[in-house]
Amino acid sequence: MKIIVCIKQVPDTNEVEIDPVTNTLIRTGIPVIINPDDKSGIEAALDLRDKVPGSTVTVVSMGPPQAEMALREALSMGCDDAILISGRQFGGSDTLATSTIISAALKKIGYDLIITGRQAIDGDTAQVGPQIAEHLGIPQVSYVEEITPEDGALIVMRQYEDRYHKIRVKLPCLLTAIQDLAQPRYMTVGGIVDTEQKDIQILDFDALSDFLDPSAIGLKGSPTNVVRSYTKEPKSQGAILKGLTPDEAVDAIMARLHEVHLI
Amino acid sequence: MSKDIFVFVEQRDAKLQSVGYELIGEAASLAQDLNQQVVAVLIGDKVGHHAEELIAYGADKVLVVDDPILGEYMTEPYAKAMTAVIKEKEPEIVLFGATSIGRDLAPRVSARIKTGLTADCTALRIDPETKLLMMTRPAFGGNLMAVIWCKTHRPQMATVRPGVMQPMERDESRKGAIEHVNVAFSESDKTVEILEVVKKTRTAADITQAKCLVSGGRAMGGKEAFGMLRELADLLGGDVSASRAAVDSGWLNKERQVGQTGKTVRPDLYLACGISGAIQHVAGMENSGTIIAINKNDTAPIFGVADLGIVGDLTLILPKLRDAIKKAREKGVNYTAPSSEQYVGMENILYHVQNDIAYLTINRPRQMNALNRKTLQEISSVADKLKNDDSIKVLIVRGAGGRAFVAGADISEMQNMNEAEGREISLMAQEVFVKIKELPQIVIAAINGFTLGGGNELAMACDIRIASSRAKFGQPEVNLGLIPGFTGTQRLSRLVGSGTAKQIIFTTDMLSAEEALRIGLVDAVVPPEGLMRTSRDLALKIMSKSIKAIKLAKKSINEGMPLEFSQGLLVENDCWTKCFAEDGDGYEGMSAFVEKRKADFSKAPKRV
Ligand SMILES: Cc1cc2nc3c(=O)[nH]c(=O)nc-3n(C[C@H](O)[C@H](O)[C@H](O)COP(=O)(O)OP(=O)(O)OC[C@H]3O[C@@H](n4cnc5c(N)ncnc54)[C@H](O)[C@@H]3O)c2cc1C
Ligand SMILES: Cc1cc2nc3c(=O)[nH]c(=O)nc-3n(C[C@H](O)[C@H](O)[C@H](O)COP(=O)(O)OP(=O)(O)OC[C@H]3O[C@@H](n4cnc5c(N)ncnc54)[C@H](O)[C@@H]3O)c2cc1C
Repeated sequence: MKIIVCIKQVPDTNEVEIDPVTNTLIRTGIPVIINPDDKSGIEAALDLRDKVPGSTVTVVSMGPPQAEMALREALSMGCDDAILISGRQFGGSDTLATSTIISAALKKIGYDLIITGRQAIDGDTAQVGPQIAEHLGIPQVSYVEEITPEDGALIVMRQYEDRYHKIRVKLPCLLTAIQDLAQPRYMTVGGIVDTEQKDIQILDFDALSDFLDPSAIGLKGSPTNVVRSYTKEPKSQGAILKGLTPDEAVDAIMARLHEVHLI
Repeated sequence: MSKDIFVFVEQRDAKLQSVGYELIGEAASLAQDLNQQVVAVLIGDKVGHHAEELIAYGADKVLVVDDPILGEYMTEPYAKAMTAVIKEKEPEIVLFGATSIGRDLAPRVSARIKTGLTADCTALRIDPETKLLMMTRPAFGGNLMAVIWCKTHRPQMATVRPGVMQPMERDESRKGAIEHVNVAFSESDKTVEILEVVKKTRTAADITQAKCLVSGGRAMGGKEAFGMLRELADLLGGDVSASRAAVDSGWLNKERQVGQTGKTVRPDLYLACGISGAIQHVAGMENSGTIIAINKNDTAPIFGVADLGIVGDLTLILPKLRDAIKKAREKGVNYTAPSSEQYVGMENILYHVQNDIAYLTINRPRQMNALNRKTLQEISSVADKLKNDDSIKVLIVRGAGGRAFVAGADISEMQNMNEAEGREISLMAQEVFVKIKELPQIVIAAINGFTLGGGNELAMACDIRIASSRAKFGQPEVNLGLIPGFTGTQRLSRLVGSGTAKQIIFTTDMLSAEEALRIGLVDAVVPPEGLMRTSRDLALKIMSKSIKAIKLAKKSINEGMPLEFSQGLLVENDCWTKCFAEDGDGYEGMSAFVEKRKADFSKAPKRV
């Protein structure tokens, strides 16, 4: 089974801070990581490789040359190959264009199972996985929490707000992983040393041109555009009372409850 | 030509989900702006009878796709049905709920139709000029809001966060059309096989429907403590919810989690008990009617969204609150709120602490952060509090809004002052700026833009000034028939020399950041986008040293400067001596040096 895991290098949004003066995200100095859902995806893929003899795990990332770091980390977790999709023409892509480009690369390299994360913590759209599946014309199961291999198929648990579906899906297919799917393993020292020697294959626009319509990618090929972005206006501040005795505090709360007619 | 606003109406087990009503409500207000209709698309197995209900909630038309294959949700049959409807009817806009169904279906459909899709929107609006749908959505874990449009492709599609939009009042007299759409399904549309449906059985709590939520965080400390919250909730006719920390600890079920990875709620009252207010939590509750927060830490970010914040210990407050509510229920007592210093949020400044660094932001961006009496008073109250706060070591002062640090004093307020009033405002400002200078903390001015008059005087009260390359400095008072009177004549001449100070004050010429650096008015100039980072890095660097020594050094310089040299040396000698005192850091610092280890000044120094 040829397993592909799509990984995105993202800023660690826990560390993102807003500069209230300029009201913009402070981007410099924010650590970059492998998107957490994708890391669970890698782990699930490695686990499947152990269970299904003859399987390989290939990690694929689209991004600037620096995304190589994320791929190296995946290699040192134990993945077999890594592919970087990178090119000037790809910049500014929305999810439709991103998924178009990634699926072109997947057509080129071949696959049985594709795992993406459910959602990237920067763009936060959760759209790229299902869109890749549609471009490739294969079934998708999203919000996957458990995977069990079966001959030529997979049994997966799909999470909803109020239920689970236990689903059989034939290969080839695409799954989107939530963090509960697997606890990622750490890089091993051996792994880190080994990967230094491994080559990362780079696919640029020319390498994919047979599979790509140049008008459907990049900023120009993206139907959606960010018109503007801003950080949230802090809500006007309420009264903050400190140094009250518990009884005074209770009075303050009771007065407010009274105002909103709850008592 | 494409027209009308379509809403995918989600149902489970043939029961309509509330997000459908919410989207119809929102679509109705958009439809008004476009002068178009709201069309509900109802997809499922034996669901047609719900069409009337959707009309009562505001749909002008209901399209029904009814087929046994549409019972339990599967991507392909639903995608096929939705695509067929869109291809046939060519809507202008299509909305889906951002649920685990909507976020699976909508991207699949968007890729099939080849149109854009905006994810997880929290606000929608029609641009009056272009008539385009402006879709607002949070990204970067809620840290950033983005407005997105889809200019040339149709339909414009979005998933919309449940719980955010308002349904209309149900009105049975509303009229609408119902149309069945035929879609030819075949066995091959079942691209997956559902082997089993496992319902999550736990009592289906739906905190999104509660009018009042009593919410607990990590500080509740255990499952039992939530019993108290349950009592309160019952008394108030509400329900109990929690932060992720409480859910992860196993005190409450996951479906009661509020926040980015939990539910979005908007009850009339949200009572947050021992919740810090992390951005992921706030994302799920900030639209609540009234927010009351109890937290013992006055810098907890939850206070930033609270309408009423109580700084105090919940273990002491909650039992008394329960008794009080009980009593009020019995007797109907009236309460009046005690007044107390309003601290975290003031009118004209913002104060918060992040990673142990305190930030004071002059927050009147529309008035270029001009200093009026109220602003000065607020700065003064922060200084008073910092004076006795050992936990804060560095304060960064800055201006909000990107254009000005502080562009001067508020002229309109001073225009009609008489001599006595003029004297009084100068004395007050001088006192505030002296307080800043004498703070035990290290004070850094992060200067982003215009720094004029009182602004320059405030900047000079700080220990270190970092300027953006865009900043501009000046003392324009003589243009107004005034002189610098908030410490300016004295400080500026001491900082840059009396000749240069006179030149600046007499000519009122503005200085660029580079010139300010050259004459020593500022201590560093950085590119605008690097200003906060540089200031923060500087703060962190200072904090990594012996803060006791740094404070003594500050004191020695400040107090020694105005004195005659030999007197200054006495001050220095005094401060130096304190480094060797029982509680000084000298012993630890020098021992670490000798032992070739890193000094740890955080521990109380102990001599052995
Ligand atoms: C503020 C902001 C808002 C945006 N809003 C929208 C929007 O509403 N609609 C829209 O179409 N675009 C939007 N975009 C553009 C979108 O973020 C990019 O297209 C991005 O490349 C992919 O989307 P995502 O990060 O949301 O990924 P998701 O769809 O959340 O990612 C899901 C999974 O897909 C895989 N994946 C995603 N990107 C890559 C990659 N580059 N390489 C390998 N695997 C990947 C990963 O496995 C990931 O876990 C927005 C961008 C910004 C900056
Ligand atoms: C990707 C991601 C998604 C997340 N999604 C969510 C989400 O959906 N919902 C969510 O809630 N969190 C979410 N989190 C976690 C979030 O970042 C915080 O860690 C979490 O909200 C903290 O919970 P808390 O406020 O209960 O605990 P803490 O942050 O530990 O806060 C406890 C508070 O109680 C106060 N306190 C302590 N003792 C007392 C006392 N005796 N009296 C009064 N006050 C006291 C403390 O001052 C402190 O402010 C998410 C995190 C990530 C990374």
